Amino acid sequence: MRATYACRSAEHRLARRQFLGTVSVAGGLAASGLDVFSTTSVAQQLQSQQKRIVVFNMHGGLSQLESWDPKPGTDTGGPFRAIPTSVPGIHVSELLPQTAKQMHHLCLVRGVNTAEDDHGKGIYMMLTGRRQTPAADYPQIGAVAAKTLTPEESALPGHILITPGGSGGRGNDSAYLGPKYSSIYLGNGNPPQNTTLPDSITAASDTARHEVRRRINDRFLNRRRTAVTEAFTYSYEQALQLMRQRDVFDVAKNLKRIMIGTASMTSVVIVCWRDVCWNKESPSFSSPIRTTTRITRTSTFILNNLASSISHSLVLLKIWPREACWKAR
Amino acid sequence: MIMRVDMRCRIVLLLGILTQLSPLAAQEASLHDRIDQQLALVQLVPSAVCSDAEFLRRVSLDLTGMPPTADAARAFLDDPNPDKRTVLVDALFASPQYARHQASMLDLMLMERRANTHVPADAWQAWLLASVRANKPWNVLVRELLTADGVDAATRPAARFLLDRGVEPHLLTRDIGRIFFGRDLQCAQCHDHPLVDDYLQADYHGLLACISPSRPQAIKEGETTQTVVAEKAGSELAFESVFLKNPHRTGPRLPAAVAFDEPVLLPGEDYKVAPADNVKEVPTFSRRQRLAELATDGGNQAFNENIVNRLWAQMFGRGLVHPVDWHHADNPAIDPELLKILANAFVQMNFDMKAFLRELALSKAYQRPFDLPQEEASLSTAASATVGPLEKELVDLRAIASQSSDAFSSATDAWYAAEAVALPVAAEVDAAKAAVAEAAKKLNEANAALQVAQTNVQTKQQLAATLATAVDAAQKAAALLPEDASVADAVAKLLAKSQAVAAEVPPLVKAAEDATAVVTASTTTLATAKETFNTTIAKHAPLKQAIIAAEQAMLVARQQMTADKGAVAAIDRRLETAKLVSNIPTFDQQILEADGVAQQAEQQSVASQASLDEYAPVFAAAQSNVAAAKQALQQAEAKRMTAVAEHEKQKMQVVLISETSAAAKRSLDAIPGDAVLTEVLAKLQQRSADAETIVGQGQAAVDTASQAMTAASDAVVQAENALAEAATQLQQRQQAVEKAKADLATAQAVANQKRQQRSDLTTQLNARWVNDFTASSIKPLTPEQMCWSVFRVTGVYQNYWNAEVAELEKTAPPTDAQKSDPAFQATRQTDLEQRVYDKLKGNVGLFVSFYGAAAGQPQSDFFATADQALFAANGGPINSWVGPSGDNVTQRMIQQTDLGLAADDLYLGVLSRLPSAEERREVIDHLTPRTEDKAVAVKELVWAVLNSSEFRFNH
Repeated sequence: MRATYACRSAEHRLARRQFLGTVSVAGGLAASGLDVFSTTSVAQQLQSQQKRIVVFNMHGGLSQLESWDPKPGTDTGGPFRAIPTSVPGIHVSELLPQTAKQMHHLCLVRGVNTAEDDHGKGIYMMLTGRRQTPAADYPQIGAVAAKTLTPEESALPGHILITPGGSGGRGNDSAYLGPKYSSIYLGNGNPPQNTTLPDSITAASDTARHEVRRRINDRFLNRRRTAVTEAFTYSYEQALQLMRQRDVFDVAKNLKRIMIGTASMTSVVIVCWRDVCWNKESPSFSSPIRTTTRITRTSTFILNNLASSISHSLVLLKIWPREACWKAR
Repeated sequence: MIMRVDMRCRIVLLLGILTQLSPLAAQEASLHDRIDQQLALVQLVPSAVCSDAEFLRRVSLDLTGMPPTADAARAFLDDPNPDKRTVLVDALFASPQYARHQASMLDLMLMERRANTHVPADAWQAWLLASVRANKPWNVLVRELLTADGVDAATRPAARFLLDRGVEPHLLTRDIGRIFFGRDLQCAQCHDHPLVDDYLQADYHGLLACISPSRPQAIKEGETTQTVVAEKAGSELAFESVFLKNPHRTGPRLPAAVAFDEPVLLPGEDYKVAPADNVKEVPTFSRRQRLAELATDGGNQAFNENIVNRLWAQMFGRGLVHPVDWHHADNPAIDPELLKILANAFVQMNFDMKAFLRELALSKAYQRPFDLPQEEASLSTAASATVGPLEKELVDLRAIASQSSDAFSSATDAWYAAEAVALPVAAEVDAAKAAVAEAAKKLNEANAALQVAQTNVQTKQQLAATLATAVDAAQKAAALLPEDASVADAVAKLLAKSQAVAAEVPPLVKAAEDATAVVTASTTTLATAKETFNTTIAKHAPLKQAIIAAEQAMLVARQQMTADKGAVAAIDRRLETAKLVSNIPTFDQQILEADGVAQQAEQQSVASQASLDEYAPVFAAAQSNVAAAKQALQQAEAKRMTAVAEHEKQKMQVVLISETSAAAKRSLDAIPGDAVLTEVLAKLQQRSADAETIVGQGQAAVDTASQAMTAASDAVVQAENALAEAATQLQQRQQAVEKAKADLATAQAVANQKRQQRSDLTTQLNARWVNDFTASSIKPLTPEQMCWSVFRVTGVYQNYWNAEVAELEKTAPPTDAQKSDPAFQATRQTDLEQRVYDKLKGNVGLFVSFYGAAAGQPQSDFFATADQALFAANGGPINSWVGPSGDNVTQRMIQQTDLGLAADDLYLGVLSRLPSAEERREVIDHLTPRTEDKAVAVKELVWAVLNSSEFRFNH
């Protein structure tokens, strides 16, 4: 006797698609968790709006009592008070005075509850939405976003991870989605590696060799066109585009952009990371005052500087096991 | 040179073998011929064979992980020997790079770039390399991987498969299922697989039961701690579906086989080495050992088919079953019969991977061209003839498959039912086993207690005896000293003590007797428990037999279902291909028709445009007519205005004259007869008459002008009417043009749509040609292949090789005898390869970091990212390797004055083929104007070819 699993039923599938606001002819796609996003219409819609997600992952070091979920007057509540916010009824720690003023932009999630007491497993759960199991690995939220939100022809990588220190490279965080959606590390917010021509090659020589390369490829593709050869040849064009857009990662230029109000999300986040937030030291295990100062500065900085581009952005500020997310203005 | 000698030896050897085996060969076709015969039945298009150059690069990459040198490529292409492909294949197998490459492929397959936690990379790779060099059979290799415990240093590398997966049972269940049995049972862990009918939860737990008793154990020896693979005694696994909540139990089972026959062991009998601190326990019956034996003895079809399919995929870029870890009834092999033939042949070859790969390389199927078959009309005629019969066949086969699918379902239910009957008895067995354990424990305790009691008795008895002896001695002493009161007192005390101690003995004896009774009772209990155990086992045995029988029936039904579904899929695939191919003429006809319509529309468009253009001067003339008429009217109006004005003036003059005349008359009346006045009056009257005449003339002039104006006005109206008519005509013609244009656009859109459909059809067909091995697959180079290929074509490999040759010539010069000894030469080649590898291997990691998939993920999926292209374009290493160095292709091209020859060298060196005329022209055109910076220009060319798709893929 075989089970008819609820998650495969037509009703269930239909309801979920309706929930996501897409019109779809029944039948066809198998439904595993993320397959819904592969429905072309959903993906296209999301991509056309250029939705973005910023995740500030601050694991360890900061207690929820000194941030989003103060318990003043209790034995374990600590020395700090709670203050009212711009949303009546919601109180946060007095260490977040600026964030409190922005609370109407925030959606505070206090209901996260896990039995995990291990930081590694906690981080895994926060970033993948899954419990860590030995025989299966799941993609992190950034990889899922890269797959579902990044337009295919985008020159900039769809998944960027800014790390304290480190020299760049590719992360191992996309599991079965494949390395294409793995994060590109920007050590200390520096541009990705190999984005400048080596001194030994002039721009003219670079142009010349790429032209020859394109002609050779065209001849080969004329014999047989396949997805893999197309993807391979396209990656070189993407690289050239990325080189042209390299100053997206230039902190000085980004500061200027922020001042004249033309900053992109990436610019703001990089500057924010580099010069406002965590440049000097890791956030872990520093004092709550310093950490919360950073959070409050980050939040105001981002909200104040992304007037235009935040409208389709979701900012997740994760402090395991509590998290807050800022949603579209 | 050395290779040449070796080749010749091989040919002689090969000829020898052939002559010896010729009677046998005549009886049975070689495996590569059987492959081609079998595939010919599946393929719709008659097979073609690729060019020498294509074969050379393909087989070199597949067998040695790198393309040939430019010299070797030229020699092969120029070789007139009709059998040169076979000679090449054997030379490649004999080269030391074969073992290196095959070891790397096995590493990827077995470890999927997992981190080296317990076994260092070098040790592991050396073990794999040694295994391939010794041509260790696959089944032996797997047996070593599954049974190595990591204790013995010599076999510890083999334990990496288990150790670097943390000996985690679920991870191992998944990976053993995938890698050795071609079944990814992951989704059947918590319930039957939701999408695959024949992946049961019982399959997952059966395999899990083989591996779950194994565990990592840290053993401390002196200062060092080493993790080894230990194994506990196994028990049955209980599981239930998270959906159905139906209880199940399973012992260890292999995929596609019934449960192992495990010996029934009582507690105490189940360990050879019992678990203890810092001791690796060893069970009496090792399930892992048994798993390894049963999997590799040639009798497990899943195991055999998995490996031949994986080796096939390694050579062909795609398995007969694809993906390679997805063997199930609904994803049958492209030709199940071929898979069976291969699996059986591989077992007969004694799991010899080298011999098997050789057969694959020699098959025509492997030598398919990269260029896709032409879609000829004759093909369609043949295909459409097959559609009807195939459709009919499919209906019948579907009915059969549906029946066998139902049969499998009911066989599974019957199996579960048999299991359900046995479950309570199995619980009794568990209870009986627990009772035996409990009784044994009690008996142990009783024995211990008895021992204590007996020791107590003994001790006390000894004490009593000693005291009695002392009393005796004291009494003797007292007899010698009868007067001494203190002695008498001491004797009395001693006596009292002795008597007291003697009195304590009987209770202890009693206690010992009681303890003995307990032991006896416990022994009886244990015996009873054992008897009960044996009884329940006996009771369970037939039920277990029934389960096994039901399981066997389920397996048979599953096999039948797999076969039937495979037959359906095969016919379905052929039918779909035939339908697609037979659609070609229809599509082509439709394109032709649409093109005809478009052409007509275009003609219509041109004609209507011409008609429009033609009419333009007519319309323009009408326009200018109107303008001229209007101008004439204006002029006539002006004339009339002038005439009217003149006429008015004239009339005014008449009035003035008549008034003056009246005044003159009145004056004359007053002065009658005045001569002057009379004369004036006369003149005035004369004048008035003249003026009247002039007025009359003026009126006539006005009338004439008016008439002229009316005429001009009429002319305008006429011209305007003519223009309006012309405008209407023009508009009609414009509309006709627009309509024709719209018709043309529609017709072109239809034609384009038809073309798109035709192109989609071609894409679909192309996928089918590749899937059924009519055309070659396109295989991305692994990061390792990329690294060594780049080193090969940029001459880095040869430079290091030459250096090592020189080094060995100096440090270990061969004697004259050795120089002509093929065995010595072979060893020397192997040494050289190892030395060059050791020098260059540090670079492999660089390529892996950019081109390798993540650890623990399948390594065969292709991906291309901007960071790879950035590394290739701007990274230091590649740019430095493509520079001139030693005698590499860049250096040779810089020195070559004949640019056509330079082009040949470039293409031979990097892509193992000669350039086309166009490509040669391109190189010449690129280099001709660059006399000033030829080195830079050559480097550009080498880089460009190295970064082309043709280099990135093996095709």
